[in-house]
Amino acid sequence: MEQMEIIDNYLMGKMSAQEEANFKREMANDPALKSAVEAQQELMAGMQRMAYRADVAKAAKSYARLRMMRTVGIVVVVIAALASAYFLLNKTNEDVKESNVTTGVAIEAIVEEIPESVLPLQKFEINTMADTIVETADGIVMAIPAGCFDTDAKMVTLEVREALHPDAMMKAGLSTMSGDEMLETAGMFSIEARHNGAQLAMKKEIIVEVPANEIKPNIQLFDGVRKSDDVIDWVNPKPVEVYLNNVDVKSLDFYPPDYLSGLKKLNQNADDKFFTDSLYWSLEGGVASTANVFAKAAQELGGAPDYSEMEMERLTLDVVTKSSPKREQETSYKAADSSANNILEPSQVRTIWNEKWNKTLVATREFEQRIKLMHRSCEGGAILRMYLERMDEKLSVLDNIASGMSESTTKEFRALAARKDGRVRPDSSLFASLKSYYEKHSKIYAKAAITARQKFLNDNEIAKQNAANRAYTAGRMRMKAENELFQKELDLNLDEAYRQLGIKRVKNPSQQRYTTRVNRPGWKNLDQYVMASTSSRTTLDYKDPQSGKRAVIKYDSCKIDVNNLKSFDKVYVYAIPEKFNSYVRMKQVDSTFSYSLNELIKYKMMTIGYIGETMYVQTMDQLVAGRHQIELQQKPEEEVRAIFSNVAVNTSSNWLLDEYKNVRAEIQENRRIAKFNISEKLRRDIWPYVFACGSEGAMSLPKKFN
Amino acid sequence: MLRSGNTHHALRKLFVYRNTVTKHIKANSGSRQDAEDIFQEALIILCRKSNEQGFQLTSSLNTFIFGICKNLWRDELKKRGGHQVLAADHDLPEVDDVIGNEYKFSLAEKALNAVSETCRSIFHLFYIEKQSMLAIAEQLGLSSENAAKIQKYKCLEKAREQYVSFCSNPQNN
Repeated sequence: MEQMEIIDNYLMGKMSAQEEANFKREMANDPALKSAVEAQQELMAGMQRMAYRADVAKAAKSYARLRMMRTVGIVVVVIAALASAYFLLNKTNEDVKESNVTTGVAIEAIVEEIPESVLPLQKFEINTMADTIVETADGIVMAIPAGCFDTDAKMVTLEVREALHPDAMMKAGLSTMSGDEMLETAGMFSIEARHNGAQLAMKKEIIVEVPANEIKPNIQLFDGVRKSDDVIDWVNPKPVEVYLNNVDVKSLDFYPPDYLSGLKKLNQNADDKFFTDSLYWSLEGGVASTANVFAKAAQELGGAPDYSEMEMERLTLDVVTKSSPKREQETSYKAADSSANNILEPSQVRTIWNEKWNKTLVATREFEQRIKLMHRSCEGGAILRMYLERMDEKLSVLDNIASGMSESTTKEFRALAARKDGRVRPDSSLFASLKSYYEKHSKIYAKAAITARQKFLNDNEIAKQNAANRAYTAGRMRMKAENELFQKELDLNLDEAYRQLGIKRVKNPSQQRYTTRVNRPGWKNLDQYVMASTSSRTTLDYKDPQSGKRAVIKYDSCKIDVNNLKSFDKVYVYAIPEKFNSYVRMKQVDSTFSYSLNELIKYKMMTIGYIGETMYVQTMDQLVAGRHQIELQQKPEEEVRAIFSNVAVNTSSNWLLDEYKNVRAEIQENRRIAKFNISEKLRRDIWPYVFACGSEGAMSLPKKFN
Repeated sequence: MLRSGNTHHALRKLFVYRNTVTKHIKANSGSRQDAEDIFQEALIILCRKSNEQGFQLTSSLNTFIFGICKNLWRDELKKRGGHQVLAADHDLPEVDDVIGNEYKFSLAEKALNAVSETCRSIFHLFYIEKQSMLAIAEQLGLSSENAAKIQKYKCLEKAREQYVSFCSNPQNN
């Protein structure tokens, strides 16, 4: 082992000069050592080979070249257009059609105008008797067969111009317009062969390889037409192979087929993508869990207007029954979980519905049609996974597989397969990374959607709790205020009654002394009468049995009618006794607010009505017995606050402000509940449109896109 | 460029020569796959040679690669037998030496392929990436530097045994 390390040091140049010299001498005298060193050296060479082999294989892979063949034509222009297509343009061919001749001349004219410094002319001397390989400065490789050109000359000159990069094209003024659309180009080039200045026609094909870091799908050949304004229009695209056209994936519709029309039927704004997206993502969890969430929500809400808990269950059963008609209802409900695993989930749709999938099979009109069918199928999720796993195969092949995966959509997928749709050509590394991207994000989205939904429900729970707490506190506060008021009023009434009877009032006469004799029963009677009178708010008329004197405290009824009461969300009428730091809400019976006024107390009145956040106010400085008709007036919040402080001028606490806040909170809570109910109802209503697995929907096959 | 360290970029450039090689091999009863194998072998040789001290190209890169490929293919044909054997190309005497040596190294490579993946990892980290035994021990989850050394010793012994047996029976391979 030690020897091995020494050999390592020697071979890797880790020895000092002295050590090395010693070692060499040792080697010369020891053949065994020498052969050990050699073996180790050769193994190291083997290791190097191994490392370089990996490098070479990697380089070979990345040297992706686009292979193109053309039977005729000398001037060739290559462009990746619209959905990244390449095209050829031919010229100076004897059999060429008239339009092509025009085209060729047009291009030629433009190429001629380009100064040498911008687009240098590359010349190659070609031996016409031998096959020749030519490589241009930018890496276009051409294989020119012997006898390619229509000439007897032994040597010809090949003239090549290339514009593979956007800056070169722009400098050269080569336009990339097709009609009104801008072409995305991967490059253009032109080839000409000349002998003694004369252009030569071609008899054999040239193989042209254009370097491409990323092979773009959908290769097409375009012809160029020069327009009056010196612009070349690229027209008449001819596919090299039948590839699918890529479009922006965001321009496609991957929703369930009935989703948007369903929203419209429910009078929702189906054009608001943000809204439709978030609603759709929120339906994550498929048939079973969605229905469960609904059932739970419905239970919490005590049943929303149109759907009882029962109905929710029935809805669940409906779908489950449809998806597995032969099973018993009871078992089929349980089956929801297993069959739901394979339906197309919103999270899966969400994963593929983004830019990352541009330029893949997903970003095609053809794939959009398949998605619509997957939504219909009870195996949609599995079918989607199958398509994504085999994206490099022809669509028609995948359609055939899909037709066998789900009974409910067999016919439709067969019909699609019959069209023999092709494929896009995915870049292999892009494809591989997309696959892992899909797997990762589908899970993340599913989790996020369910978490968001859970949070929504939790938030609702918290808000409900908060509102309940607040209502409880507000209720206690109100009760406390009313109790205080009662105590004070009772006190006042007792004072007055005693005064009228001419008896000195002793507060709390017997509370702490119930063992002593009660020698003045009259007091006790009086106290009880006043108490009863105050609490029932009826007039006290008491005659002292001993002195024969009377005590009278009058209560008079006061009634208030509010105009247009029904148009308000809430109306509160407050009676505010001037003497006390307190208030009381007048009791509402039907449309009338009433309260009995104590003749000993002066009252103010304040009425507040709410329509949403807007407040309407009316006040009376002196509330007297009788019936009053009042009209509420809209006031801005600041003014209402000012009125509060004015009305409650004698009060130290801002009870009115608290009351106002509580009422506001109550209204907000009511509105939140209403909103929650609406959104839950919408989710329930749209749900059958989204999870239509197995339904007999009369889905007409979409037209073929070209 | 190969020496400068940007191997990947340099290698990509070299693929320009692939077509010529393919053409030659296909014209001489080889398949496209044969051509690919030969061409990649030639690149491996070039990479190795270019990092060897004292290596100087006496011809153009093109000639060198093509020469190696031609001779490699000739040897391959000879090995397969039955086919017409191409006349040896003696324009480039250095090429024959290179190929002769390289044949031994390819046996060494085969021997290395016969040892375990862990062994190959250790070799790669130590001999190619020139990492310390301590770093290697950490990367491979070995308990200590010494454990890594022992492991490397065992691996090298095994590889050497394999190599010696390959060398004595080259026909079996």
